[in-house]
Amino acid sequence: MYDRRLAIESVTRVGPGQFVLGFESRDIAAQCRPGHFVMISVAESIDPLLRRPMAIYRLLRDDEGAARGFTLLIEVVGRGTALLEQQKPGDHLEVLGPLGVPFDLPAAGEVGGEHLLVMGGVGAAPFPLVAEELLEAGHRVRAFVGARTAAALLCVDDFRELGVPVAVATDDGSDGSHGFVVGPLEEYLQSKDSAGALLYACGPAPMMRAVHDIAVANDLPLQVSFEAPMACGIGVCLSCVLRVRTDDGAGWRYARCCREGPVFDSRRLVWE
Amino acid sequence: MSAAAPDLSVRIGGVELSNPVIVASGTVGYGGEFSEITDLSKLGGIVTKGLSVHVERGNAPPRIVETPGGMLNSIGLQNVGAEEFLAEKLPVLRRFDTAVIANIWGRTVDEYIAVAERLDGAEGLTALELNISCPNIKEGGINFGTDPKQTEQVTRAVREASSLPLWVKLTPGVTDIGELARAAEAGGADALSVINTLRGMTVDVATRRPTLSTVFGGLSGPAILPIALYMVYETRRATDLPIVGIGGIEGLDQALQFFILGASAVQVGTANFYDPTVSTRLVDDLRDWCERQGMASINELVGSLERG
Repeated sequence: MYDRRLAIESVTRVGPGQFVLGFESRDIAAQCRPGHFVMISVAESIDPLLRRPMAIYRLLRDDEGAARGFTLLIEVVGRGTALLEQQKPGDHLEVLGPLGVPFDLPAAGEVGGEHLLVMGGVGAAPFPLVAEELLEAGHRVRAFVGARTAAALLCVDDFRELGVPVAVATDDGSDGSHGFVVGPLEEYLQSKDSAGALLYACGPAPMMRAVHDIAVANDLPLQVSFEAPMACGIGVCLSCVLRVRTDDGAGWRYARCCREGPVFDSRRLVWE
Repeated sequence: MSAAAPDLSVRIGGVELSNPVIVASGTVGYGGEFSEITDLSKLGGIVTKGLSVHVERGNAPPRIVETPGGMLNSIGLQNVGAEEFLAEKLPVLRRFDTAVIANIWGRTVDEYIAVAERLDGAEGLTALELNISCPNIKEGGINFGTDPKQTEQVTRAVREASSLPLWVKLTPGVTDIGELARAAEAGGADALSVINTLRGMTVDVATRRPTLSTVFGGLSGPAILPIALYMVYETRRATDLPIVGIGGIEGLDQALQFFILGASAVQVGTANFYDPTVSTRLVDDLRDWCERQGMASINELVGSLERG
């Protein structure tokens, strides 16, 4: 974990209110694992006051293939992200990270089924890096990408470049299946022997809940990446709590999303 | 020949601190996580998350909301309880060369006594800080800290239950903070921490519901600085007890204002969330500032307010 004042290296628009910020930072990048996040400042003032949690999107590599930086895929949802959208290359932001518990991905050689990545909206951000690591380790990967409309779909090109098959769903039917992304996922699971498949999800809470139900019904493991309002990102403010089952399974306790997550085994969570 | 480095050590009611920069309760947990990003040994002290005699699960989320220049929190005093603190958290804190002040709270006077007794004699504890901004469930939920009689009563009860120096953290939600300061002094407080958060709320316009699950929360951050400064000013007029200034500090300028008003030390709180190395930098900045001013000791600044 490092706290660095970094110059923005690149700003790339990718859709309506959607953009990618690139940063050079070898020390942060060297520690980044798929599913990690950083806390970044949004303004050089006290309003808005708090940094924002953002998932690591891709790693930037030098000619030798070493990680020299990282990017963040951001969608405007409020004042903080609207201010971030105004940032230009050369502007500086405070960046703390990498933070949190990343996805638990099997190493090379570990025999397993297909890895199914299910995402909605800007929840897609951590998954290209997940796919990259799984592919490098020789695993099979498939992506299910949902968004409200075709123009808002994220990461589809990343997956295609990586050679990952992609199923798309949009709320308005403007691309792919008409409806939520769990539709194509269920269809896929029914169409073949899904035994051994491993599920990963990030997106709106109702979507993750639906994927959790599918995982339970099909007896498949699922890791979910959550987001919650957080002030510090390192586990001290106790703002970002989620309900998780106690180890004995009898009750529940609050777990810090930033510290024990953001990635959780979906069966550990108390779904409301 | 250069002058010796300025002396930053301060004395707060029988406690000697290596420097006057303390991190406030609830903003650094029990120090473990925070030590991964900042050097705790550089700090004058660390105040723990508020401890109760039992484990406290805390409030339902959402627990925070950002406000102009600040934030509201309603964590609900979530903490591991005195037992786990002593077994798991205090041993970690003992590894650092910094004063450890245990913030404690209860819902009844007996609960305050119980946690104070449990912590008494623990190796590595420097002082207690009493959070009296809690509802007294035996007195109809009136906050201990808004009623002088209850403030004096709970302070005296803890004073008798513990041999540790006792700091009482005053709430700003009162008409005359001087009256509460005198009540804490009468109860046996060794120092006063001024101030705790202020009550506030926001509304989610889309749902027309309070943003926080508990309706109101505690306001902190730069927005409360002038209130905190004024409360320190009024407290200084009311009592000669040492004061630890808290509220809206995010760097040198704000800390200096607290010292000039009579605070012997300061606590940095919310700024730790958005700038996790702010407190250790403040120690360096204070030393540099004293040096530039030709000041041999930070104590020369304390209570140096010019009047008229």
